[in-house]
Amino acid sequence: MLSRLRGKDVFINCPFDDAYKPTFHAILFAVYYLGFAARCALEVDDASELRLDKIMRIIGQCAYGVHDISSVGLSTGTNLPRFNMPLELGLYLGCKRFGGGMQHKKACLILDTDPYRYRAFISDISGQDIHPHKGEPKRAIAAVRNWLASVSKTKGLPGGADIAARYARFIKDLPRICTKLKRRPKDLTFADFSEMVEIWLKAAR
Amino acid sequence: MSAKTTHVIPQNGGWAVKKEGSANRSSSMYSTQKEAIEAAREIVQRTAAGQVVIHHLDGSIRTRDKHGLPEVQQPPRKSKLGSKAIERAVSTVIRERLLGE
Repeated sequence: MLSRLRGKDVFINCPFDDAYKPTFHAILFAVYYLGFAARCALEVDDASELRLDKIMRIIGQCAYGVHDISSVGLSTGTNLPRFNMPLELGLYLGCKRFGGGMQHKKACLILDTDPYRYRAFISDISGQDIHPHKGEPKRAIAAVRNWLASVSKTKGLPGGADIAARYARFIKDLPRICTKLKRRPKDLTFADFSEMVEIWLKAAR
Repeated sequence: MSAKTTHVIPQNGGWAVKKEGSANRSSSMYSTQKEAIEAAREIVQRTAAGQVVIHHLDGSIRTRDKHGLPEVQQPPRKSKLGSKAIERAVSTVIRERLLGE
């Protein structure tokens, strides 16, 4: 079934582990600050829906996609590489190419730690918009901001440094917000964190 | 400083106008909420983008005079913590920070 493209929805394809969480949260914050909504596989906890079906449904709805392929190294536990992010990037590009309707209007940003590293493991994506963040949340924010401002043709959006400064303030407030809610920051779900960002931005950006 | 919000907040029996990010350093006091809102509105109207956030005595907040800022989108899924509970927690933390509590 052809999904209707939502012009404010941004698909976030990135690792969800603790090591990457600061960058994931920074990207999510930037997306909301800029007036868009972040979507990812974590948003649905319906066990009856297959994970891949869930991902494809969300991809079909998003006009924009941010794909971080930096986490392709060998897992310390299994000594095997992780392919989820490149797989989802492929699904996204396939949906854009073959999805029909308005899907060809999809835009995507590819993030990695270094600018040309991808050539060694996924050279077929040459020509896509690939930006290095060097593992730094601030750089990821700037990359997302500049790309979203460009592809959405939105003028007057706050700059990357502005967003990073407000993100630092939010992260400082977050433990106290969590204390009031009797939650530990590390236990927040995607839905918890997203709604805290939304409400905080409306009150303190 | 990057902040776009100017707060109108009850303090010491009056109403303080505080720019987000300036903590206790710069604020002005008014005897009525109406005067404070007018002062905050003037501050915000001088900027290219900004908003006035009014804190009520019951701890609730609302936004007024937003201009030049993108609309903050709702997340695809609501938190099980409850929107009201999150709003209360966020407004309390911001108020405590602004008032140096």
